[in-house]
Amino acid sequence: MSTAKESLSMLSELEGFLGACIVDSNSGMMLGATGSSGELNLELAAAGNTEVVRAKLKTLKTLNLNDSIEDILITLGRQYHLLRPLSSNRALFIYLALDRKRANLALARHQLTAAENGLQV
Amino acid sequence: MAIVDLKDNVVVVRIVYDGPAYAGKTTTVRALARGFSRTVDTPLQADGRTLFFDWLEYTGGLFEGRQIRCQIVSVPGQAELFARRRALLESADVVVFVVDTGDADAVERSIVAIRELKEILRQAGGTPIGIIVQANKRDLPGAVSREGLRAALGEDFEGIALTESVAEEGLGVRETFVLAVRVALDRVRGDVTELAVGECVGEEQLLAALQALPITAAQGPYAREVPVVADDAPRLPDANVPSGAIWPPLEGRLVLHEAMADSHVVVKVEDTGAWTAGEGTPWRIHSAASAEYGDLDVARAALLNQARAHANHGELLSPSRCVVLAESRPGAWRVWQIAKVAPSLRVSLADVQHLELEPLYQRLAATAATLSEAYERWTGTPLKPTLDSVGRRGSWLQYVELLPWQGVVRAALSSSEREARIAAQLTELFRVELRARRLEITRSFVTMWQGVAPWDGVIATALAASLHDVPR
Repeated sequence: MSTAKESLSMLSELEGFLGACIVDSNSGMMLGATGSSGELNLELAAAGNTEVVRAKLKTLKTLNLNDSIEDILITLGRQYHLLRPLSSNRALFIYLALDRKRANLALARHQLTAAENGLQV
Repeated sequence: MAIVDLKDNVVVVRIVYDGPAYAGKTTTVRALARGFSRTVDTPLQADGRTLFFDWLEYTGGLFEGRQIRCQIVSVPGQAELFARRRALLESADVVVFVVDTGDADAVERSIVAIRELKEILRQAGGTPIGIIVQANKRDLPGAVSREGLRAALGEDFEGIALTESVAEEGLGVRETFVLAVRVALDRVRGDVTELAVGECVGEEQLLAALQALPITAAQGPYAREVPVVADDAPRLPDANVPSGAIWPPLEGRLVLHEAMADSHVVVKVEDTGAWTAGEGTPWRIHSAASAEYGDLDVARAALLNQARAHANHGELLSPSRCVVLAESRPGAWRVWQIAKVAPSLRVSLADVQHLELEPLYQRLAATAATLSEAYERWTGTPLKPTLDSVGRRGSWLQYVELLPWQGVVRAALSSSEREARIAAQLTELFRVELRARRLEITRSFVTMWQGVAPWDGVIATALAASLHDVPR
């Protein structure tokens, strides 16, 4: 098992990595973060994406789908944003931002799964 | 209470870090600040110790569409700054109580402080303020285990979250903080109608408010009178008393050294004319009114008597004690007794007013059984079993008060005499700690009454006696 710092550092090795953090979806507060804040203010991004995760979870509940979110992909013109709620603790999610030109989305999702599986929070 | 600051469109919550001195409150706040790339402001420190608070502000997260501004504040740990601590705790939306779990003694001191904290928050009223215990110094080799900590806290642990940290290295402090924010927001959600709108109290206003408070000794559930330093106060013994003036010779010197290391020790006169010191510290330092001598040889004989009395009952006494002879003023010598504070039955009963009826009844029965055991074991000694003098450490029954200066040996009691004395102790408990619940307990007593349980009769007697002053 790895700490939040170790898991996030694993993600930082991805090609096109911009930033990543572990976020408490209850408050929008970050438990840990890594990456440059040059292109992205991770604190603001964490808080804002909390609303996205909350809304999607609420929608699933309303639709009575009896399913869970593996990840949420938001595709921007120049970036990918991946949100992955932790299966071990649904109140937390990992937020990963990548440069769309350089990133391999499939590999990023694979690495995100690995980071989550190894994470101990 | 959290407020919405419309000027900056943020929800302001206050997270207060509490805990005994040197538990790691300031270290925790500084570690958080490093993580936020901010600095901690500590107004008016003295010798590196916090006099008012450590202050850190961090804005992040989101609540009801507004960002959350966290005012992170740590309290001063010194006992004489209690009024400031209390004011800060009462202003909290959540309290993170930092416990030094490096050794069992530190944990024991923290338990008393947690009970005091719970009582302060209870008295504050309003929407309940959540408590998180941050078990700090987890890296130390002798650290108390998580299970050990839970066991030590016992029923005091109910409704409290536990996290672990090594604040020096910044480990676990962020996780604890995020949990604290969540608990604070839960409090706001629980009473959103009371979420005030206005300008928040910032660091400067808070400092001004605290500066207006008096500097007093510890208050609260275990408070005694405010210490008065009298002009004719005798000198306290210092750690360099000559050999032959302290008992036990080796361990006693260590006790004396530790007890006198606290620079906040004060001396006061009690009704009895005795001198005591150590208020607000883990030590009781006491000298009876008649324990001062103008003749050094007579003083030495008195020291010897006290040493014998301690040696005779050594295995019954709580640990870390000593007896010291020291010059109290020119040409006069005084015998002092020093003992480390250990929790008594009364301290362990601090939460009884909040217990459900069934566990309350069980606690009363267990207390009666412990008192009875003390009566039996301490027969033939001058030790008097009371709620304040009996303590338990695991299965070990211990006398936690100071040894009587001129104690009278107690004769064996018949079982009816013993039960009457235990009932008298419980009557006081019903009259003081359980005063507001006597009628409720009486109404429910019929359903709890077993008729055959060993302490039913004693509890019933105590309850009935306590009701004499209740208007019907």
